[in-house]
Amino acid sequence: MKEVAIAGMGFVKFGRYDGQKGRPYKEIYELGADAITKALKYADMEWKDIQVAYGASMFGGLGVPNQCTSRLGMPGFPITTVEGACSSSQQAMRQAYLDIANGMYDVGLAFGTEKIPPGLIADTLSPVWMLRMGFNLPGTYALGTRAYMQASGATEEDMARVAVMERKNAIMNPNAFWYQGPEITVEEVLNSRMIASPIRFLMACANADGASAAIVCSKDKLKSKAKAVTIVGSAHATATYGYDNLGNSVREKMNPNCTELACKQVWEMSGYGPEDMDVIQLYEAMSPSFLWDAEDCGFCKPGEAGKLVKEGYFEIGGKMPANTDGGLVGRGHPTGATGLAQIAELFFQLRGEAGPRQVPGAKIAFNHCSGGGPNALCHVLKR
Amino acid sequence: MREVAIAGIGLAKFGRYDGKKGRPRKLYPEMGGDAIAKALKYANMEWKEIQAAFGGTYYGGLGGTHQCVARVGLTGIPIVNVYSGHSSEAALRLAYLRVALGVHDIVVAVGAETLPGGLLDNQTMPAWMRMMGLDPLPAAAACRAVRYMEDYGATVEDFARVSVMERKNAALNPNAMFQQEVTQEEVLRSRMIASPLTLLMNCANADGAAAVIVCSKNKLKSKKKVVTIASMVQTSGTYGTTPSGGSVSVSTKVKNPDCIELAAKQIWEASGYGPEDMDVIQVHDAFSPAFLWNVEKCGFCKRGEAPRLLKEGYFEKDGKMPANTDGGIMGRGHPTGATGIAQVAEIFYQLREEAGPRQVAGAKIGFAQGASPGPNAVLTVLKR
Repeated sequence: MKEVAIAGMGFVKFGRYDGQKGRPYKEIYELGADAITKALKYADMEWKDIQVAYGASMFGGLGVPNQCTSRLGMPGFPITTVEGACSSSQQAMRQAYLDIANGMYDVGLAFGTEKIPPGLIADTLSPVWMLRMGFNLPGTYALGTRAYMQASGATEEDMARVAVMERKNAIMNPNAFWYQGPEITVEEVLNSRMIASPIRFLMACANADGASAAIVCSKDKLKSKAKAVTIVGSAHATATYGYDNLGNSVREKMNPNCTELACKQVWEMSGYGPEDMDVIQLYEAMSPSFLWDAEDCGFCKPGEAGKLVKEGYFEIGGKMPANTDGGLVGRGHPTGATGLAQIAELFFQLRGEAGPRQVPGAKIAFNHCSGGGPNALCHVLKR
Repeated sequence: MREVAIAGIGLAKFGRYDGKKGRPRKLYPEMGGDAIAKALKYANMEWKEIQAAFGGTYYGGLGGTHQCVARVGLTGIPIVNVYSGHSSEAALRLAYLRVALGVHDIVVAVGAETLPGGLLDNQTMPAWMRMMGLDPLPAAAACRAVRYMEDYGATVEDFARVSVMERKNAALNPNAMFQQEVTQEEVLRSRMIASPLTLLMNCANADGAAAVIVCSKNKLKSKKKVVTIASMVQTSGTYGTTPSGGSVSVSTKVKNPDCIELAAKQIWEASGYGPEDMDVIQVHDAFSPAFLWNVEKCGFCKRGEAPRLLKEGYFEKDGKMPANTDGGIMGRGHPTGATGIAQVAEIFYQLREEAGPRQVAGAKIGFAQGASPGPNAVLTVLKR
C-alpha cells in the first residue's frame, strides 16, 4: 500500500448561514465549494490535479456534492456521494484514502457540506414504528446515557463537565460555532432546559451550517514535504448484535460495539495504541457520549472517564488532550461536514497550526467519528 | 488489479409494494434484505462471508444500506451508502474497486427503493433552477428530446418505437413491472406528460430491489460459466452540460464530450473491447428518447443513426445488437436506487444463459450503462 498524506484542509466556519438576524446567507453548495477552494489553496494544488471526489451531505438532498464541484469546474472525474449520517464526510475521506493507498488514483478530494434544519433532528434510520414513538436523536441518546450511567456510575455533573471543557476549547477556535464564547459553568449546564432526560440543552451540540474539505494524495504528490501528515490507520465498522442505530446499548454489553471493533482494527493496522496518542478527537453529539467513547476507544478503563474529566485529564495541557477545537458541542454540528472537521483539527495540531489550542509537540493523533447506522470510523494520523 | 467475478445476483420483482389495490405492502429495507438473501443463495455463500457492503436508495432517506443489511445480519462490516447516480451502479463500482484493489475479497452491493408517486425532481439542480420549475425529470428529458429532434431529425414515432420494443421484451421478463405489450398507437395516444413525451415514453415509478455479490475469482463456489467484470468506469459532468446530463443550453458548435461519451471512451480503452464486440447491451432510458441518444453516445452507432437502426430491428432481441432484453427501464420499471444493479443483472443472466425466453444465443460479452442526474455515468463491461 502507498503512503497517503493529507495535502490540505479547508473549512467554512461553523455557524448559521440563513440570512437572518444579520447573518450571511449562503447556499449549501456555496459552503461546500468555499471549503474545497480553501483546501486546494492550502495544498497548493489546482482543481485539475484532482482525479476523484467523494462528497457528503446529510440533509441537503441527493445531488449536493455534484452541485459543489460544478462551481469549481466540471472535469468529468468520478464524483461519488456517500452518506453515513454524521460520519458522512469522514467516510468520504476513507474511500478516497482507499483509492489512493491501493494505487487507483494519486490525488483525491473528500468534502462534506451542510445546512441543517433547526430543532430536534429525527433519526430517519429508525424503522417507521420507532419514529412514530418519538425516537429522535436526543431521545435515542438519552436511553444510551441512562444505560451508561447505570453501568458506570457516571453522574450528570460528569456530562456537564465535558460540555464546559469543550466550550472552553471552542472559544479559542475561530472556526467554531461558539468561538469567542461565552464560557459556561457546570451549574449553567445543569440548569439549562431539559431536552431528553438526562440530556440538557447545553449538553447537546448546536445545529449548525458549515463545510469542510480535505485533499488526500499519495505522499510523493505533496507540493511540500515539510511537516507532512499521513494517514497510518483507517477503519470503519458498523452494527453488531445488541446495539441500536447509534451504536449504543440499552442492555448489558454482550459483544464489542462498532466503536470497539473499529478501534481494534485501527490500532492493529497502525501499530500504535491509545497510549501513543498526543491529541485525540472523540465524537460527542451529546456530551455524555464523550465519556463512553473515551472508554470504548481504550483511552481509559470502563467507568473511569467521568473521574478523568474531573481531573482535567482530557484538557489542553492534560495528559490526553481531547476535542481541542471544542468538539461537536463547542464547534457545532453541521452533520455532513463534521467528520472532516474532526480530522482538520488533528491535521492543524500535527502541523503546529492550532494557535492558542496547540498541544506542544503533537506528532500522532487519533480520531473517532460515529454516525447513525450505526457507523464508527477511526483514523490514526501521524506527522 | 485483481480479476473480479460476479458470484450472484438477487432481484425483487419490480412493481408496486404499497398495500393498495390488493398489492402486497413492503418497504425497501425488506425488499433489499430479500434481494441480498437471494444473491447469497445464488452465490451459494453465507452472510458471514461478506466483508463489506455498498448500496443506496435514492428516496429512502438515510442509512438505506444499513437498514437492508440489518435484515440479513449485523456483523460489523463496513457499510457505505452511495447516492451518486441512481445509487446502485456507483455502489457496484465501489464494490468492484475494493475487490479489484485487494481491500476486500467478497463484497455485496445493494440498491433498494420505495418510490413516491408522481413526477420526480432533479435534486442535483441548484435552488434557482428548481424554483424555475426545471427540476421535474420529464421536463428536462423533454427539452433534450426536442433538441435531439432538431439536431438529428428524430420523430415522436421513433420514441414510441423504443417503448414498444422494450415493453415487448418486458413481457418475457418475470421480474419486470410490465407484463403486457403496447402498440405504437397506444404510446402516441397516451396522456401527455411533458411535450413531446407521452405517458408511455416515461418510465414508471416502481418499487424494488437488486443485490449483487462480487468477489475475487478464487472465492467463487463454482467455476462454471464464470462472469467477470472486464471493466467499470464512472464519470461526472463535463463543461457545457446541465445537471441532467444534457446540453440543452449549449450551442451545437460546442462539441465537448458529455459524461456518457467520456465514460464510453474510457471503458472501450480500458476493457480492450469496442462496441462492435458486444453480444448484448443494456442502455439507460428513463425516457424512451434517451435510448436513442445513449446508444449513439456509447458508440453503438453514429450520432443520429439510432432511430433508423431501431426501425430496422437492429436493437431487437434477435437483431444485430440486442438491447434492453429485460425490458429496459421503460418495461422493467424504475425503482431508482435498484436500477443500476438491475441493468447489470440482465447482462449477467444473459452471459450465464439463464435469461429464458429472452436469451440471446451464445452471448459472451455484454455492456451495461447507468446514468443519472448529477450528471453521473457508470459503464460496465461483463464477460464470460
